Amino acid sequence: MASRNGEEKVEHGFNDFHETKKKNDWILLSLRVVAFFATAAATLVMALNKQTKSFVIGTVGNTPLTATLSAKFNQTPAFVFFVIANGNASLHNLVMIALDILGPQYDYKGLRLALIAILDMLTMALASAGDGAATFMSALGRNGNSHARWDKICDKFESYCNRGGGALIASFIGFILLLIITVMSISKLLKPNRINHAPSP
Amino acid sequence: MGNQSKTSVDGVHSDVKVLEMKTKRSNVLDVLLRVLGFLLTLTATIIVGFGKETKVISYASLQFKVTAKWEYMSAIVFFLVTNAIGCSYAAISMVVSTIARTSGNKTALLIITLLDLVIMALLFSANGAAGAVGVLGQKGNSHVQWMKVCNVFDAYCRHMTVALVLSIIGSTVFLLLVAHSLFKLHYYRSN
Repeated sequence: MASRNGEEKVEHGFNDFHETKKKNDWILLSLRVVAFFATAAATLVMALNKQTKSFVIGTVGNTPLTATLSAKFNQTPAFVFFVIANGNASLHNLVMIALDILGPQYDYKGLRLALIAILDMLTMALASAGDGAATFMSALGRNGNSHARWDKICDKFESYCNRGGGALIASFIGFILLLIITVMSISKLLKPNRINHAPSP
Repeated sequence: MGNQSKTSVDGVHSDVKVLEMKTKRSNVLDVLLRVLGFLLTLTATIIVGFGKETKVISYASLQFKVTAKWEYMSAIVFFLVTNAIGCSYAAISMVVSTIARTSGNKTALLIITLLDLVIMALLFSANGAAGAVGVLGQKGNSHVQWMKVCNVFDAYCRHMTVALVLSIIGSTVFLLLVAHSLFKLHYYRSN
């Protein structure tokens, strides 16, 4: 009799712990989904960022000579790195979402939680590097630099600059979310998690 | 029954000893990594701060005196400030983490790990920024008619490259610090 009461008590405690863990997992999963959308949006907006404009450079007689210049993201190594870093981040988020959805029936044994936290951290480092590069490249494009005699380009290619700024904002949101996700993954390592998800009969 | 309980007590005692040794070893590794990070970011800060170059260009029978300094480019300013922050953080956290580890304060260790994470991200973004501007100075950008700067200021560019490489290695050291404390948390968890 006493042992059965003891068993019931243990199962009750196990169910409570299981419930709160599920809520935390849902929060983490939804954060990952939003981060995936943010980084994917940043990648796509910057990769498809193109503006073509024709300038009049001179006149020959009566007809004006026009030159068509196009601004694309692959002319600048900083934006190429930005696209690569954010593409990597969105791929990482996608893989982690798939792992979260398909994975829970397996036990969290071995290095799985630590590996997830480390991968989150590496992706965060890459995303922050891409963000920093694109931020200062855009600042240079907007303000120019008189000491190096680089003049600004944003007065000529306005929609290119605006779209690049939008991609940058989306990437910042994705980076902040990645930071929160990494913190949550690290804190998951602290909780004692020796309970199998499949209850023993 | 009594003999069995004695052996179990001995087993617990030896486990505690192993744990203490591992704590000491991981503490040494932690302090070592922080010292390395401190030295690398300090060197990068000093190189960038004192890397000024003045050159005289003669162009169309006019003499221009041009200077390259860290204050003239906002990305390099950000790089300098971030490296200085990382350097002072490494110095402070060396002391704080040793104290927290010996006193067994778990929340302080967690806060230090999270701060490590934030500073690492900041350092990486500064590296990206300095790299972007450096590539621009090295090659220019023909599409927007930005001329390269490094053919004139070659010593300045070399200094900046060295500082960037050192800062990248320093950021990797911070990354290793976070990974190290992650593995320690994992080890404590699985025990």
